[in-house]
Parts: sequence; C-alpha cells; structure tokens
Amino acid sequence: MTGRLISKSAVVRLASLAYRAMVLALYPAVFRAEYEQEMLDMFRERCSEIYGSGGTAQVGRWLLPTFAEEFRNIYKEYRDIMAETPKSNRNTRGAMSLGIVFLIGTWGTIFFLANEVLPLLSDWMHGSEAGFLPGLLLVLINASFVVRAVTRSKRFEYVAGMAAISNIFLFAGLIAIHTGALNLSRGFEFNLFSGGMALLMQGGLIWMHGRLMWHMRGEDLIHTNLLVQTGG
Amino acid sequence: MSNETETVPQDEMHLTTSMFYILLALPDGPKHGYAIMKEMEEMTEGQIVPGPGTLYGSIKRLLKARMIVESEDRPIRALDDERRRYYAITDYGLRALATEVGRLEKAVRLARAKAVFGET
Repeated sequence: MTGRLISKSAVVRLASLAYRAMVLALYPAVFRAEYEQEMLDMFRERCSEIYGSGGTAQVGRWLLPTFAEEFRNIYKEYRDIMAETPKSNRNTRGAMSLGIVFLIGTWGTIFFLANEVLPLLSDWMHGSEAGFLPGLLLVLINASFVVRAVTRSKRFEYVAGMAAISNIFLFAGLIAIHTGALNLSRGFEFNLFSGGMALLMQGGLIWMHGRLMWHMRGEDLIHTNLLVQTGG
Repeated sequence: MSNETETVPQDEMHLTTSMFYILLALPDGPKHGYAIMKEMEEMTEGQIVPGPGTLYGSIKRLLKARMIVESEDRPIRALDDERRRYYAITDYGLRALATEVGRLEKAVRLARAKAVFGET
C-alpha cells in the first residue's frame, strides 16, 4: 500500500500507452521494427523509477520533456531516411502535396473552430447549429489522416476514400452555411471573406485528396505523409 | 570487441554528446540499452539521461558507423534478460572515443591557457 491516489502500475501503464500511441507510432517503420520493443521496455522501466522517486506528479513533469525530446528524434530519423534515399526515389511532389493538405486541413480546422464552433458553444441555444457539424466533420476528417498515418495499417486505407467523399459533402454543406451566414449579423464583408476562404480551403482539400488517391497508395502515401508531418 | 583495423577518418569523428557517453559506457563490457542509460546518468551525475529515442537513435548510428556491435556475450543465465540486446564497443569505436577524448583534452588545455576557468 503506497497511500498514493493512483497505483504505480496504472500510471506506468497509462504513460506507456500514451508513449506507444503518440510517440513510438510516429517513428519510421524500419526504426520501429528494430527498436520499438526495447524502447518501450526502457520507457516503462524509467517511468517506474521516476514514479518511485516522486509519484504521479513527478511522472507528469518527466513526460513532457521526454515527449518533446522524442519528437526531435522522430524528425532526425526521417531526416536520416531522406538522406539515405536516392533523389530519384523521392516523391517530392507527393510530399509537398501532402504538406499542403495538412496545412490546409489545419488552417481549415482552426478557422472553423474559431468561426463556427466556439461562438456556438457560447451561445448554444440561440446560435446557428449549422456551423457545428461541418466544424466537427472537418476535425474528424483531418484527424482520420493522422490516424491512418499513425497506425500504418492497410486496414485504414478506406479512411482516405471516406475523407475525400466526406469533403465533397462538406463542401456542399459549407456553401449552404456560408450563403446563410451572409444574412447573419456579423456583416456582409466578414462572411464573404470567411466563406470564400473556407470554400477555397475545402476545394483545395478535395483536389489534393483526389490527387493523392490516384497517384499514391499504401505505404508510400503513409511514409510520405509522415515525412511531411515531421518536416523530413 | 571486434578486431577492425581501420583508422578513424577525420570527417567521421564527430560524435554527439549521447554517442560519446554511450561509447564511454561500454569499454568495461557489453551492456543493454537501459544499463547504458543508467551508466550515463551516473557518469554525468544526472546531467545527461537520454530518453529511449535519443539512446536508440544514437545506438543505431554507432552500429552503422561500426563503432559498436551487438554482442554475443551475455551475462549468466540468472542475470540475463533474453529480450534485451547487448552492445559492445569495437576497436574502431575505442579509437574514435580516444580521438574525441584527445580533442576534448586539447580544448580544455586551450581553455585553461585562455583563463576561461578564472585561473591566472
């Protein structure tokens, strides 16, 4: 009996789960195949040790810099892969396309959270519910790319297709929402600008998704996807 | 330790801090990753404690540079963990380490000569 609120095994298990899902999964497949188990074992042992010296709070304080350090290492591993890959084998255009997709996706998501979801939360009963669904969809759609990239499983191939199709529906929905929004009290110029930008973003997403679906498949897509995410 | 006889090329001598301490942890015998990390913590009085990614990233680079190898020598069965891999320094790794230590010694001498440590 340690007298602590959360047991050591629960803390270590939770931290290890987070480490595996959020950090280890992002390493290149070749690196994971070689060192994943040893890294996980080492993380568990260290975590257990840290818990012993200062409990849950100490583990929390240790996790942040550890994760930050790991993300730098993930970048280095992809950089190594890029350096070792002959230029002729690099899919630079594909990588750039994916980079733009993520940029647009992130921008679009933040844009909608700020523009549609947040005002809705503060004025739930009186606001326009119309903005909530597309905002949520956009978040989920773009998160699905990350899920597929992280899991690297071919079972998740269908997600890209779903994302592309969903974006078409979302695109149509956004036209309706932003046409309607022109009548709201924020002012014509603001809504014209926000609507135009959102449509542009979504148009770009659809184009990119389509392009990626046609030109890249499976591991190539996921690999390049991760390269872009980590700046490789 | 392996019997490689190459010299340490000047342009391959750059060792990161982690790589340096990993090499420094190994001359007294093969160790697994966690033991290397603990040794580094002890050697640097807690100042350098690499995370798993830093440690295994450096191990990967040292293996590639043939400065360390996976060791067949394992501890006695009672102390052995079969899942773990043990790493040993090669002769080439030892030479690289010695070269780096020499470079650092030279830097320290230079720093002393310039009274960096406040000496007269």
